[in-house]
Amino acid sequence: MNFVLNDSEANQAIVLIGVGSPFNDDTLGWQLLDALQQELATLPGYEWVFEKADRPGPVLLERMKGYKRAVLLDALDAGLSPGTIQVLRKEELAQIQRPASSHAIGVAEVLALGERLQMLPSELYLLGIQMGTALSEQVVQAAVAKLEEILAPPGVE
Amino acid sequence: MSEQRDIRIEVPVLARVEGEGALELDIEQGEIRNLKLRIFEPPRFFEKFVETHTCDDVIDMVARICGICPVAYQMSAAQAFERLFEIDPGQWVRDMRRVMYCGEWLQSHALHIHLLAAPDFLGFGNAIEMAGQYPDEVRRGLMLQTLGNDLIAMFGARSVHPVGLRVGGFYHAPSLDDVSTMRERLEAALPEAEALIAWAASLNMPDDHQQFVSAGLRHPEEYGIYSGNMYSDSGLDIDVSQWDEHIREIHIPHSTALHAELNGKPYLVGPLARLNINLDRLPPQTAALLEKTGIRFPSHNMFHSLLARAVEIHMVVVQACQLLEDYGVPDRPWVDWQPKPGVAYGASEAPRGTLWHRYEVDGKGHVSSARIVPPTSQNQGRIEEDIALSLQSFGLDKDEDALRLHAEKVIRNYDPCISCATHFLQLKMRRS
Repeated sequence: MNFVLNDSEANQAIVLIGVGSPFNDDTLGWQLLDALQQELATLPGYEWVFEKADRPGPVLLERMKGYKRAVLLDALDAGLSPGTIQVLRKEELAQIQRPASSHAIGVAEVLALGERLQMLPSELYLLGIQMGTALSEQVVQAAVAKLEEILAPPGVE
Repeated sequence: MSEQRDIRIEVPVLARVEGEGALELDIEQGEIRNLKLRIFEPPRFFEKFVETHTCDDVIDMVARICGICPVAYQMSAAQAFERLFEIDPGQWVRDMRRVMYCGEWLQSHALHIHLLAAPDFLGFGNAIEMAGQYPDEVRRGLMLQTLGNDLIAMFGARSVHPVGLRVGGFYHAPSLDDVSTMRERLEAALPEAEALIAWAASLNMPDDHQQFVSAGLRHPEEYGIYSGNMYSDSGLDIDVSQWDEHIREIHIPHSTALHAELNGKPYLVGPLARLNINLDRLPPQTAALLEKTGIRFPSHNMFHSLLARAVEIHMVVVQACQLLEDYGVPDRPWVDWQPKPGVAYGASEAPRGTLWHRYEVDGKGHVSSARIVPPTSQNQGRIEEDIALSLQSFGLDKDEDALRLHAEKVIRNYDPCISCATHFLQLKMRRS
């Protein structure tokens, strides 16, 4: 079959994908994406691609295809204080317990599928925002700081 | 004296279906005594929510009924209003709505075949297990589903609950560049869609032929997707406004979704029924691929639903390529209209089957009453009948796990969307 497989990972840009839906706190991933699009423009040395995904299901894997580095932005309920940014690395993501029902194919289940299909970028993070708050400047700055911490600019290993 | 066991099978929550339902089955003395497809997802009252809203609002509201087939809801509603107001949005709108609809069939069918149904026929519990051994097939499913989603989003701004449709046309016409890129992607997907038909036909399907009525839309020239008469292989051929004279909805205590009967009997809507009555409307290249499989249609083997979906995937990719061939951006992608009071009827083919709408509209163009008959509710009677016949042919003496799995396979063939219908499966089985 004729697919562009991820092991090419030709695209050097970092893809940021806001995951969510137009409802309540589920928009946090999208809001953060919009804010980061402004903030990251001035951060030297990086190339970014910004994508919004509306309840993408398994299609999320296609959105990351071809990139070596990807960051998912999503609302999270981890019982932290509202607005806390929580970073999960690829290895940690694979361990999230999958829901028993597959009527909604959630991010965790899709990532497990992606791992099985070897379709996950070699560097993958989930930047989760604890729900229960509106997006503040503080949260955006915390997200930028986390991104700088986890992602070295291209050429810097 | 009898060695036959009495068994009760309960599947408390059905997996790999949309929404919440269960199956309850009692086998006594080797005979099925009780079989209920229990749909307990709470009623959603959408028909009441839309009252007092404008027709354009209703088009966006009904899209929220389903995350998988929102386009179908919008298309049935828009056409109902346009018929009542006696407006013709013109050929461009008609063609582009068909293209957008192709996107919905593509994503819905690709998801069902590869991630929901195929594990049943290849002996896996779910798609993640299947992906280890069939990675290319699962990747193909993802690629086709993504393409379908992007085709919807090209017209509706997003693939889930799109917002591009209005009475009289679209809010926005895609750019030449977007359409050109989309056409290249559709053409590149054709060989994959072609391979999918052969692959679907190669799966080991039970040989289980049953008598049932196939019903759905049939159009004088096109494969029944966007519009047509309500038609069946038992002789029905009516305008969608005459629906109530032939199809009756009935309430069954174990389901929050109304059942439906055609002339007093269960009937089938959806891909298999649709292909059965639309064979002569397939594009020649799709018909040739189906012919090559050696599987004869019309088919009365419900397990051929998966193949029917694969055939429909190829058909919609071909059709979308053709309809986008000479694409041009119109001056304005809608026509003006004036409301008229009266009763609006509309129907189109959702991926799972015929979706019928009836609205009463006042002089200001506000909806005062609504009725929506989705495909899964129409199929409930047929599903129960199918489970009984299919389990008998499978052998009621088989062990409980095998019976349960077989019943679930039968149900998943219908790709039931319980969320739409409730307006699905736990299996409870008892052998006493």
